[in-house]
Amino acid sequence: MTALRRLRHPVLSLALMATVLFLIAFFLLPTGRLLILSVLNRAGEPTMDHYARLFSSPVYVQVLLNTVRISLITAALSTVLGFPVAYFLANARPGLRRVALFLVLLPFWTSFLVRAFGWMILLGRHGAINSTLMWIGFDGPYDLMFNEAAVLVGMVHAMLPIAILAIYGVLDNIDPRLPRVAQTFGARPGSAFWVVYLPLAAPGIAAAALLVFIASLGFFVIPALLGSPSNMMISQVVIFHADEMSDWGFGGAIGVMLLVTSVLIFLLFERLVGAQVLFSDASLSSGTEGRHPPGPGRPRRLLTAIGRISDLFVAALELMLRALPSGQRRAVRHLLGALLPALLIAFLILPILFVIPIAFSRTEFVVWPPVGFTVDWFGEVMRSPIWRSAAWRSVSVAVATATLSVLLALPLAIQLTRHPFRFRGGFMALLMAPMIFPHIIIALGLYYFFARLGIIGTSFALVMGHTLFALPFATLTLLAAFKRYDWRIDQAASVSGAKPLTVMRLITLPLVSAALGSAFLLAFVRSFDELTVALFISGGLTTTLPKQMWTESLTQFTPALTAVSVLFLAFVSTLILAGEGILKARR
Amino acid sequence: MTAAIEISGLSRRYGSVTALQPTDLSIAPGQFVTLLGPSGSGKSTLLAMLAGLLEPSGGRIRIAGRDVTETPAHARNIGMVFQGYALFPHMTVGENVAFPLRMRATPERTVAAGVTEALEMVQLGHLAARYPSELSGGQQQRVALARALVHRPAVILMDEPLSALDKKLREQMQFELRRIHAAIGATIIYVTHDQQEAMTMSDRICVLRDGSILQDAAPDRVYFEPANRFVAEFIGESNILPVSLIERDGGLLRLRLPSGEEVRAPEADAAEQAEAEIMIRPERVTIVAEDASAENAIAATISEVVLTGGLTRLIFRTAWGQPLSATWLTDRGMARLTPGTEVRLGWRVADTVVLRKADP
Repeated sequence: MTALRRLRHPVLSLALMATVLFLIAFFLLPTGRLLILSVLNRAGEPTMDHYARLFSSPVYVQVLLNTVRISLITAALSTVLGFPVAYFLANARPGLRRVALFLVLLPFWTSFLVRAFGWMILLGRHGAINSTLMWIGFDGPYDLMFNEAAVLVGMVHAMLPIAILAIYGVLDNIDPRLPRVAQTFGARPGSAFWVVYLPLAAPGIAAAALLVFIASLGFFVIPALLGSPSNMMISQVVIFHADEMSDWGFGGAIGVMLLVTSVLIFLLFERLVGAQVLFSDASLSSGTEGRHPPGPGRPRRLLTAIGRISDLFVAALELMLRALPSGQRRAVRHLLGALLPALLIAFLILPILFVIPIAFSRTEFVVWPPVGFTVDWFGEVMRSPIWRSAAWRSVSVAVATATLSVLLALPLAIQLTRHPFRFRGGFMALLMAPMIFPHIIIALGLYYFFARLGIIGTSFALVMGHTLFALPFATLTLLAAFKRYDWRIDQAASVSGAKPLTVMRLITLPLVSAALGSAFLLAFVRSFDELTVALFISGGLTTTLPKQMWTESLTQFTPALTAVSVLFLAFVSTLILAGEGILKARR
Repeated sequence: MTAAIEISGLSRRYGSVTALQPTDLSIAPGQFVTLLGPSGSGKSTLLAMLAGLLEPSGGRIRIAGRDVTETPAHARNIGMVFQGYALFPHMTVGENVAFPLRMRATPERTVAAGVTEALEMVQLGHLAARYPSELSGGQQQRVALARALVHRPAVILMDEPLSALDKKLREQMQFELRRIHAAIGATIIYVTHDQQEAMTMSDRICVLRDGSILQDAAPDRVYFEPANRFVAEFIGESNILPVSLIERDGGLLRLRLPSGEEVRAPEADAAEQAEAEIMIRPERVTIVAEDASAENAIAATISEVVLTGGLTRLIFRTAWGQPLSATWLTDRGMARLTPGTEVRLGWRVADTVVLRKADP
C-alpha cells in the first residue's frame, strides 16, 4: 500500500517542498527581515527612532496621507468604471468578447511605463491635447500635467484593467439566465439587475477594489512621471532612500506602514467576502463553502430602492424608444448598452497608441503633431549597446523565470487538485501573498537580502525576484486547467498499462498543453514587464528593458524612448495573440 | 480451479468514514458479477481498489492467483470501462483502442489487427479515424468497451458504463454486453445502481449497502429470496406487510396480519422472532372470487388503477389501511376495476417471503 503511495508522490512533494523553501528564502525571510530592521538601530538595538522620524516630519505624514487618498480614489474610480466593461465582457457574443478581451488584456500586459508615456504625449505642454486646443483657438498651453488630476487619470488608466479582470472573473460565473428568471417572477429589468445580479457580483467588485487599492499603495511610476513633488507617493520616498544604502531601518518603517494598511484592508475584505475570490480558484473554497456572497440581507432595502428608481429610468427610455420602428429600437438598445464599455475601452487603448506616431517623428523632442517621417529612432535604439543588452537581459531573465515558474507550477497544480494536503489553505495564502503584497516592500527586502549575499545585479537574483510574482499567475492558470481536468482519463491510461511517467507524457501534458503555454506566456510577460524589483536589484550593465526605460524617462523623454515603447508594445501584443492562437488551436 | 479474483478482508476508510467494511469475495473465471447498490454503498470503492486506482486500508487482492495488492494499476493487466468513458480526447478512435496494446510493446502489425478485431466486435470498424468528440454517446461507449477488451485481459471492470445513455440505448447495450461477454469469456465485474440492469446481465449479483455486501447470489435468488428488507425493496417492486407468528405447522408458518387475517408462508430462519414481515411481489398478487379458495387471501379495496403500457399497476388498500400494489399484464377488462370496489386479494404460499423484522 505504501509502495503505491510512494510511486505517485515523490516529484509532487519535492516541488511542494521546493516552493515552500523558495518562498521562505526569497519572500518571508527578506521581507520579514526588512520589517524587523524598522525597529532596530544601526547597532542592532531595539528602537522606535525610524517611526519617530517618519511621523515627526510633516512631509512624510503628508506623503502617507496623500498615498492613501490617491489609492482610495483610484480604487473607487477603477471599480465603478471597470464594472460596465466587465459586464459587457461577460454578456457579449463570443466573437465580440474575444476582441474586447484582447483590448483589455493588451493594456493589462503593457508596461506601466509605456502607458505613462502615452499620457505624457497627451498631456504635455506641447502635447496632443494642448496643441489641439490651441489649433482650435484656445490660449494655451495649459498645465495639464504635474498635478493631482493627471496622477489620478494615469493611475485609473493603469489600474482599470486589473479591476475589469477581477470583476469579469466573477461575472463570468454568474448564470446569465438569473436576471431573466427574476423578470419572469415579476421583477422589472432594473430591479432584476440591482436585486439579483449585483449581489452576486459583489465579491468581484470587492476584490477589484481591494486589488487596485493595494497595488496603488505601492505604485510609483505614474506619480513620478505625471505628478509634481506635492503629489508624491510613499514608494517614491522608499526608492529615494534606498539609494542612500544606509537607511534600511527607515525604509523598513515605511514598509511596515504600507503593510499594516494593506493587511487591515485585506482583513476587512476577508471578513466581508472571503479571500478565495481573489484567487479565482473555487476548489480552494471547498472547505469554506458555507460562506455565501453577501446576499440580499441588510443592503436589500437599499438595492430594492435603487432598483425601483432604475426601473423608472428604463421605463422612460423605453417610452422614448417607442417612437422608433422595432428594428431600429433594438439597434439603439444595443448601441446604448455598448456605448459606455466602448468609451472606456477607448480610454484604455487610445493613450497607448499615441506613442506610435511620435516614434516616427523627425523632431529631437516629443512634440505634437509629429513632424515628418523617419525610422531613425528605431535604428538608433537597435544599434545602441545599452538597449540591446537591456533587451537581451530582459528576454533571457523572462525565459528563465517563465521556465522555472512552469516547472514549479505544474507539479504544484497537480498536487493541489489531486492530493489535497492539510496545510493547503495556508500554502495557497503564502504562494499568493507576493501578488497581493505591495511590490515595493518585497523589492526592498530582496535588495537588502541580495546585497548581503553580494549578488545584486546578477541574473539569478532577478529571476528569483521575478519568479515570486510570476509563480502565482502560472499556478492559477494551471490550477484552472486541472480543476476542469477529468482524472479518469489518466486512470484509464494507467489501467490500460501506461506507467505514471508515460501517462504524464502521452495523456496529461498533451491535454493541458494550452494551459502550459499560457502559464509560460503569463510568467514571461510578468517578468519581462517587471520594474519594481528590477529597479532595486539590477543596474549598470545588467539593466533590464523596463529599468532602462525608467532611467531614461527620468532624464529626458525622447522619441527614442517612444521607439522602444513601440517595439515593446509590438512584442507583447504578438505574445498575447500567439497565446490566443494556441488556445484557439487547442479548442 | 484458481479464482479469477479473490479478495479477503478488503476494506477502505476515509478518515473516520468507512467506505468499505472488511469484505471477502471470490469470483470464478468467466463470471459476470454485478456490484449493485445505491450511491455511497461502497461498490465503486471496491471496483477502484480492484483496478489499483485506490489504496486499500486493509486486506488483500489476488487476481488469477497472483497477489496484486501492492501492484500499481498499470501492471495489473486488466481492462476497464469508466463512467463517462474517459476516452483520450486527443487521440482517434483507433489510437484509443490501440493504446493498451502499444503500452504492452505489441508489434504494430499485431496492434492493427487487434484494433480492427476489437472495433469489429463493438461494430465500429468504420469509425477508427474519427475523434471521440465526433461520436455519439453510444458510439463513445462502444469505443470505451473496445479499449477495455482489446488486449484480451482476463478481468474487465465496468463502472456504471451505461449510466449516461438514454433508456432505449441502455437496454440495447445490455444485450450487446451479454453477447460480448459470451464471445470473449472474460471475467466481468460490473458496477451499477440500476437493479434492472443487474438482473438482465449478471451471473451473480452482490447487493451492497453502507460498505457491506448484504447478499451475494444469482439474480433469481436475489429476486425470490432477498436476504432482508433492504434487498427486497431495492430489487424490483415489493409489498411488505407486518406479521406476528401464530405457530409452526409442519413446513409452514401460520402468521397473523394486523387485521387479524391469517396467512401462511414457507418455513424460514427469519421467523425466529415473534414479530416479522412478509414480502409479496406485486406481480404475484391476484384478485380471487369470493367463493374461490386461495392459498392466502385478504380483503382489500381498490384505490387506484394506472395503465403504464404493457403493464397495469393497481393500488389496493388493506383492511388496516396499508397500500398494497399489484402489477398485471394489461387487459381491456381492467377498465371495470373502479376505485372503491371491495375485493379479495390472493397469493400463493410459495410467493410469501418472511423477512427479519430487525432490518431497518
